[in-house]
Amino acid sequence: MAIACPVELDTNFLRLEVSKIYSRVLVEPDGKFHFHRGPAYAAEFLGYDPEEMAALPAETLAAFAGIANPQRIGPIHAGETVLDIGCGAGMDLLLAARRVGPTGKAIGVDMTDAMVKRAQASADAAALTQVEVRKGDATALPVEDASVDVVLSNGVINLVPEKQRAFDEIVRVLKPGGRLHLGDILLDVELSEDARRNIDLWTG
Amino acid sequence: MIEVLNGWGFQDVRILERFHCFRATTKEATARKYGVHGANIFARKPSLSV
Repeated sequence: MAIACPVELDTNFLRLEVSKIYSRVLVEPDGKFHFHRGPAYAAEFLGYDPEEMAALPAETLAAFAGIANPQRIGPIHAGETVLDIGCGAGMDLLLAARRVGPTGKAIGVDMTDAMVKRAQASADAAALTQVEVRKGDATALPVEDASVDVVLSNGVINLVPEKQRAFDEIVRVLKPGGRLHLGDILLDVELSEDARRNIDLWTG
Repeated sequence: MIEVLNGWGFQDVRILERFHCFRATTKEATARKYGVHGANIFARKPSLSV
């Protein structure tokens, strides 16, 4: 995994492209994309539990576009504080919120207004009062130092050009002994410089 | 990734599962070319400071 991106890469443009693509998923989940979405994909490709997903609002499930399954990484205990970085429409966030229960806290952070609104509306619809969704970026998390038991993320860190800052932030917000449940992209081949400058590959 | 997370001071870093998340998409060939897949990764921040 490359930690640094090419200095020539326009990171603001990359952020805009990522925002545009994933905002479109929200309003057009059945549209044409180069990645899978939705609950059938989540169950068949990633092993999410259909019964657990059935408890969540349909709009949340339809806009799911993760690439792994952080829910299977390890236990999340009642009363814990969980942070979902790049929570999107909120599927992983809401599943984690059900695990921490009403005595815990599930914080979602997303950089797009539409996703923040959707995730919070979905939590409200599911009566998960322990959920709080904040607008923010993986490189500047709106979360207090050493306040989180579990950081989870699904398919987001690979989209962040400044990975060093993102990992610095994860370390900052985790409590000592806190866990990282990271679902993300791995590559078996080192990317060429050309490939690393290719916005289409970044957003893919 | 394990080296990266170890470099940040994380402990117990493990890749637990891999997923062929781009199977049957228009990016399947690209994913195959670069060995791209989704993965579940666990890591723990040390109990003392990192």
